[in-house]
Amino acid sequence: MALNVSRKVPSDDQQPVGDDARRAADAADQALIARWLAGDERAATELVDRHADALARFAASMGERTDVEELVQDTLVRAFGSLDAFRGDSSLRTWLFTIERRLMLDRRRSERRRPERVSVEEGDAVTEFTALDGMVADEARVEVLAAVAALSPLQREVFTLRVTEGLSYREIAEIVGSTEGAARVHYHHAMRAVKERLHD
Amino acid sequence: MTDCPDGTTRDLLPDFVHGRLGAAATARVTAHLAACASCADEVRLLRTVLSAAMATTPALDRARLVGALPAPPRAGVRPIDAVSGRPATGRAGARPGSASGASAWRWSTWRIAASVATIGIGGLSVVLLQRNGQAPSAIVATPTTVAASPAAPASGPVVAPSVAASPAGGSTTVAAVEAAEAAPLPAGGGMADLADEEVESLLHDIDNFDGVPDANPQPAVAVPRAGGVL
Repeated sequence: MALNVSRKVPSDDQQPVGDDARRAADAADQALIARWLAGDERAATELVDRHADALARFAASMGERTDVEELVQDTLVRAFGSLDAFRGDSSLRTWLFTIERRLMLDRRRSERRRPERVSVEEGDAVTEFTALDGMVADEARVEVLAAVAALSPLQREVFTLRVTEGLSYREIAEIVGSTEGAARVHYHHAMRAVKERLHD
Repeated sequence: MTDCPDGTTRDLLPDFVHGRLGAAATARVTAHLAACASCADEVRLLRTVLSAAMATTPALDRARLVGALPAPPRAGVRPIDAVSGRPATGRAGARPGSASGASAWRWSTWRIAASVATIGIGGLSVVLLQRNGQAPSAIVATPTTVAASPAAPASGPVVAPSVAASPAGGSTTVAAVEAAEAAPLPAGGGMADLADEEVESLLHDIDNFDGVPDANPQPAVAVPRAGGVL
């Protein structure tokens, strides 16, 4: 059957309550940013608590294994370095993901220039997740992660942000520099590819 | 297994898994899942991906992360754009293309100022060259003449030092070269500045100038002519 990707706007009863929850989360982030800018360094701890795990999940899902914490730290340092210019046109988490994604892309570019280091590409998915056997007891999880790792980088980003982080297509589009419709199509193509790989 | 044709409901499944649907939407999706094996499978898949992602994410040292953060900025310090790593020009967190009007105005001002400065420097250069007696055209193309005579006027106009060929002997006249080198650099002026004798001499030199190549190419190796003269 052909992929049925609806672009219809959900009716009111289908609207995710996440919209309200996100607005509340955004307001809380703004309040913490204001406190930090006013000199309250404890606000930084709260902001790290709210977002660091999501950044680590995104990095790990994108194939970063050994340097996840370093990547999260670089992301946070860079974000806090310009937090006084953040006005909240997008959510703080979306902004953080955008920074982290840029850092990951920069790292991959530099790794390509250093052939002695082995970079994780699409073809390395099986090897990459064979190493996770010891970490993930459930065989089904290993298979699913291998299927996700076999996606194209863009599909993998969109799929991860939608499934693991529950972001909306609009937020995903902001992060990956795409349109909302394109993000939706990438997600459904990724879902189909994962299913096909699991059913092989 | 085929995908569910209800794309609207399928779009909501990740939000359903994250518990982000309203009561009505949750009830609707739940009812749909009871009747649609494809969507029920997809929800199981989404939950597996989510749990696998949680299980494989390394634990973070929060204290280390917080300790590495910079101190709150001082007022007046220009922030760095976190995404690009360059000094911020617009608003951080703003969407692409939504730069504020103030920054766009500053950019236009800089462009206009750069254009005015370029035009001004160019015009000043021309004026200075003209004051020094050098026509701008002399820099580009100085008429080159064949100095056939050592009597080339020392203060004469547009006579460039050149390898002089004597029409009589065909050899380079050292005195002519030295005289030409001693002369000031070619400056502005024209034929009107030359005396009648100088004009005649110049025309004579031009008439005898042997600068036009032969119709037949010369041999690569000089062949001695009769009399042993090359």
